[in-house]
Amino acid sequence: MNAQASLILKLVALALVACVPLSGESFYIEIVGKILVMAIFAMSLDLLVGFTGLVSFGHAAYFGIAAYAVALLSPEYEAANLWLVLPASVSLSALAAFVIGLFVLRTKGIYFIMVTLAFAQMAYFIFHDTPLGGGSDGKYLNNKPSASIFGWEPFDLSNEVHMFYFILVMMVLVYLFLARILQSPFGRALVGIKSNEHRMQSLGYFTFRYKLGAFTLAGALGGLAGFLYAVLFGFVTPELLSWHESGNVLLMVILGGMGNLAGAIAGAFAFEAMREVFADITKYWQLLMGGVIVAVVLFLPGGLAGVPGRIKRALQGGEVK
Amino acid sequence: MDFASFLIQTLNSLQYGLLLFLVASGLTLVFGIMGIINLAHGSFYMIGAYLAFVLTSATGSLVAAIALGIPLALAFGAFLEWALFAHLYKRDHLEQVLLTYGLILIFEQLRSLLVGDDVHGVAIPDFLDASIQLTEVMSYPVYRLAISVVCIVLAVALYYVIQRTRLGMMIRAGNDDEHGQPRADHLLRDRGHRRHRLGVGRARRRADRRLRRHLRQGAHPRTVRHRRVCGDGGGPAVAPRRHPQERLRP
Amino acid sequence: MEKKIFAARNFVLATALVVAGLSSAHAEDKVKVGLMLPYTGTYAALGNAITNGFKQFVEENGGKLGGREVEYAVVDDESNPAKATENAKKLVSREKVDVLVGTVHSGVALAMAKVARDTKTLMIIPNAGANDLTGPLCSPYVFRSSFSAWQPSYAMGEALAKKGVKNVATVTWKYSFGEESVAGFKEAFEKGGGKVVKDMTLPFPNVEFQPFLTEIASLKPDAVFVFFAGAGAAKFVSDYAAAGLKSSIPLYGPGFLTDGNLGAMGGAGEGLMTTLHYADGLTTEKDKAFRTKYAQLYKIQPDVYAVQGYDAAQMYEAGLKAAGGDPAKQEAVIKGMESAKIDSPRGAFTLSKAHNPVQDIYMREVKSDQNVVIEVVSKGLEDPARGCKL
Repeated sequence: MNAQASLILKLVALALVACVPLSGESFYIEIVGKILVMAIFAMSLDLLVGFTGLVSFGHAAYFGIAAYAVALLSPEYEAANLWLVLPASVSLSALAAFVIGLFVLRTKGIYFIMVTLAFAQMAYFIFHDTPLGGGSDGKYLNNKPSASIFGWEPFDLSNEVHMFYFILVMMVLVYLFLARILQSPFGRALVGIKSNEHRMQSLGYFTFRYKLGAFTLAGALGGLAGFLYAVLFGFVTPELLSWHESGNVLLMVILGGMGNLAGAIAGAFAFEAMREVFADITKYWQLLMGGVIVAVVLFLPGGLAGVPGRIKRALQGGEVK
Repeated sequence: MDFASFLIQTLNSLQYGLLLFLVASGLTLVFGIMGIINLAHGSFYMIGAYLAFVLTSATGSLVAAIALGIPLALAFGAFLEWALFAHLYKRDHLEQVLLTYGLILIFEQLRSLLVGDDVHGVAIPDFLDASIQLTEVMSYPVYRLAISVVCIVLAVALYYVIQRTRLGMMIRAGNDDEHGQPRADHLLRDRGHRRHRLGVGRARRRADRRLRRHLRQGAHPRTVRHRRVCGDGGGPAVAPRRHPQERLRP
Repeated sequence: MEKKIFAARNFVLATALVVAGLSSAHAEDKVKVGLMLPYTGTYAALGNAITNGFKQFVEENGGKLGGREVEYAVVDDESNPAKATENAKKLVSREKVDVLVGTVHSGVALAMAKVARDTKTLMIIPNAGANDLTGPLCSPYVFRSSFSAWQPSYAMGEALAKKGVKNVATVTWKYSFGEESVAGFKEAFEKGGGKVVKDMTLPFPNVEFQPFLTEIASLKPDAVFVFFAGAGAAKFVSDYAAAGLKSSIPLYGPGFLTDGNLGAMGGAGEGLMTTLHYADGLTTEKDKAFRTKYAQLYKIQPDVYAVQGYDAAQMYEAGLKAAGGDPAKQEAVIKGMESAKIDSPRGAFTLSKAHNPVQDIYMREVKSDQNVVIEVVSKGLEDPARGCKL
């Protein structure tokens, strides 16, 4: 697929998604909104897994921290200001990622996976076992933040259509931002670290700083997704930080194909769609889900993003490897 | 806390620690030797418990259930290795994590389908169903002590097999993959898949040679040995090794 | 039926009728019930029992509620709060259910209650016991057919204080329901002159109890109050007996300790006393009929969860009846439910202002595989509904 065709395909997909609110069905508007939030989340993880080679198995922590931040920072009976609470929540997640990154980035491979998981579990139990955010029952966010700037209100997040487009715009911005970052010297260095960290070091790069930068950025963007999730659903629970959620988002990245931003978005769509369809078929839908996971790992190592290439190769002479 | 309670709490922690060791020892073997992260290890634990329940109900005796359950569990493990894990040795950790995550979902649902969702118990066999009076109100169940004994016996047996037998040597060699050399188990897998399990053959000799070469290159034999027993896996880096270049500025 | 015969006689007129009132005609025919319950995972057995109970009442009622055919929309909530809002919205905005029935897990029920409140959908909770649901978060649209965590525990506190028990140690999992149970017990017990000498908690769902049993043995309280449920409860009771504590320090707790898991305890539970709003061996006609029918329909014995599901259906029936069978007249349905007296297998109950049952709490004793009623320890116990502004 050449660049132009790929761009056209992406724009068509974007236009299709943007048409969803025309359906007027609030269920579909919300579910697609949620998928877009998960797409942001998956892209943020892809920055680590797919581009820097850091397999974080605790990414849900940053998602959950920002979600709790907005619920805790908002006053009980009135709306918080979006322009204050959004940066505050995202910065809290970024800060948590920065501090945790200082520790976990000293490890590699399997140890990195396990230590990120351990930190995420710590965050989970902070919310689950202390009364801070309502304990295991979770907490309501009763009023969505208001977008007013000195009395002028450009949009209203409690309107589901406005909320949907707000999320969509955020997702496109995150995509463009990450695509730009990856073209920059910083992004190039990250990709270099993924393929050979020692060589990057011998070239004089302080790889630790680059990895910390990527980890913090991924935490911040994961936080943005968590923020949007909390505002969309108005309810936060410790389960948002559980290792299952970390596993699910990893799965979206794998499903879409690592190291491909559009793939991460496609992965989020495919994953959520599968969940919906399977749950409608049978109450043992997790069995099907587990089967798909196993099959993808065994037979589709490149994820969905690798499928066009495979087909092409197969057509050109059957040399699929 | 009085001294008696302190002693009992020490016994509790020792006993629980031994139980955790038993669970962890299996994970260590899978992770350390085969290099696979198995998130579904807890599912194996669950399958064992359900085997105990189903077989005890069927045979009426826990001892018979254990006698039947162990070969069944071995067969099941061998099947999974053949069907799934054998494809994972050369994959990266991420894919292993995901595949075993998928297995958790599958096992959990199959359990629900086959045995249902009710809570079950397994009766303790009569000869273990007693307790020892420790203080005036507290007594200690013999069954717990028996579990501890089983754990200790298994620990000693594992130590013996890994430290003192040819098979153990193979296992330790299989783990040793520093300095980017090919892992012995890959060599073994390629050349002498079956023989590896029996502990004989050319592949083993190659691995032995490789181990000796490695030892000559300066790794202290104790580190090689102990890493296996402690179960820290000995992957490429526990803490990143300092590379000499790291401190150089361009 | 009448309409069909009519349509046969006069096709043109009938077609006009249908076209004119397609949606209203459809709604007039059926009432749509959304069941959002756990059908997989730890609480699957509870979700099934509640569903069975609900459907049993509908069947006894001629397959109808409020005189209309019942249509179900079913969602497995997996007891996962992270997906709860989404699942509830699916029922409300895609399936357009008239009433939302669910669920077991408190965290999931809280998320559902938020959806019910925001979308002004009627909701009946057939189990989840979080005090907040009929406390600070109470809403005109949210009803409960089960209990609040406070109720059985408070009754136990009263009963033990009355017995003259002085010192009690408590153990529970560290999560909301466990902590609310212990708090309810403590409130009544200390009001009655008793003293809680130590509160112990362990992370949910850990089941290594031995250190706590040792601690209890060294504290030597007059009694122990615990909240555990399901498999964890079975293990606690077995371990408690194996440690020899059962004969020297009596163990008490809300009825979940011995509900649905007596088989797994293998005799270790024999003689345990627990409090709950339902028991085996009630002598009312209603209960007898309910149990016979349930056993006949599902080939198993009913439990407290089946009763709660059955009563959820009864409550909605009462509401619909008051509204002339029209689920769209929501205010009338709510009024009807608020003023209803539910003839439950557990004994008749009414609903408090906060929409929680005002009910009798039984003291029960474990005899072989049953929780047999001993006495009513608290008559018409009403949850204080602290923080509710209804």
